[in-house]
Amino acid sequence: MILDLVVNGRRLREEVEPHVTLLRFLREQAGATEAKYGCGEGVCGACTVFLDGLAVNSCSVLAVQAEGGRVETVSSLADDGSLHPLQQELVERGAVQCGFCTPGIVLGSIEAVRLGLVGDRPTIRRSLAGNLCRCTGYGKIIEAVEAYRDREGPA
Amino acid sequence: MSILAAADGRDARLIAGGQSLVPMLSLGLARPDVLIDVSRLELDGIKEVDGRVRIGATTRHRTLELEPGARRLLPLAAEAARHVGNPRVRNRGTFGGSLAHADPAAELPVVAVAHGGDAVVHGPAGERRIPLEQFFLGYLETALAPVEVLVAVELEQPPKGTRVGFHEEAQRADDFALACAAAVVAPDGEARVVVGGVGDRPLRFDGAVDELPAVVESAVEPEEDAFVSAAFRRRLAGVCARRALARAQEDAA
Repeated sequence: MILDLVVNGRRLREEVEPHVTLLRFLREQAGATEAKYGCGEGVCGACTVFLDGLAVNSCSVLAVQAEGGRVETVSSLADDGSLHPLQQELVERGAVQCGFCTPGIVLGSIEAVRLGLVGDRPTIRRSLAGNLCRCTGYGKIIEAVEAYRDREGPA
Repeated sequence: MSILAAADGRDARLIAGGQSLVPMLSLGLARPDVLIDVSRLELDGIKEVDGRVRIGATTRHRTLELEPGARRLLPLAAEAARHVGNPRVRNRGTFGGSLAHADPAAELPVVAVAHGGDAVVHGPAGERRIPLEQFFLGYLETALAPVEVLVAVELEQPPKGTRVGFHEEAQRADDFALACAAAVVAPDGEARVVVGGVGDRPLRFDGAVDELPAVVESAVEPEEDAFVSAAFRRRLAGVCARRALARAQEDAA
């Protein structure tokens, strides 16, 4: 079937099989390889994108369910070439190693801060619980999210 | 309404949030011929109806968790919804989907049984109601007929002054529950505990606050799995019951 949606501000009309996930569509048909394939079952957070403004696991949404929708990947945050403030905090603290989990950490944490769910350290840990990072041990990520929260105003 | 009858004998599944079904499709655990997306049918919403609270089937977990009106009406569901998957799962996953999927470790079926009430179901013969006590039949199995659609759930509201609590133990934050429990404590001290993750469906126990944890622990018959022994899970059921009851007693009501 023909899928009509907007990815990072660009309108696409693409033929897509009904069983194809939004993640596979983004990576293979929309060129958006910044959405990462990690676990494929909604656990690791690497495939996080915004769908109509809500963070979702794009591996667990069928592409056809995004019909008429607006998808934003991490690339939408830095389209003028400058990093988003949270990305900047992550870089400055060395909270990025292999970088595979980073798009999901960035998008998930932006949503958590926007919803006022990021207060003290335990709430930051909670908000990151569904984003698996196998490199950093999370300490520097938590510091970066805390610094970003302080820039945006406390929860 | 019988949108499933339109599938005409083929293996048809409804999809809403898709947070269980899409991973199952990806893992090859479900191979339906037809998928019918009901996520845009406007079956969502929470409202009070005749002293009960009606939750539309496509109401998302995040609404139960975060929306102030929902939290006020359904504090037990709000507390339990926080434990479902991760924030992204909760942004998509639906209350009706969780009940219809009937994973024995899922939190919201436990909440539904703790409240009591009816599942509102549409099929070829029109609407019927299934008491929530009779809705869950076993592992991933409900009283829904193959052509029936769960459209809403009506939860009974406990009397004023009732206090509630929820507790869950999992191996990792946001992971599936090894065991979880919902506690409802009436003003007269009578209590109800419903435990999940330790049987093939939510299990309900009524009794006195002090006695219930031991009752739960001796009554459940969990199986061992790849992660923990049956004995550990049995113990954990009692622990979850005790902690959920303790939370209820801290609850301001």
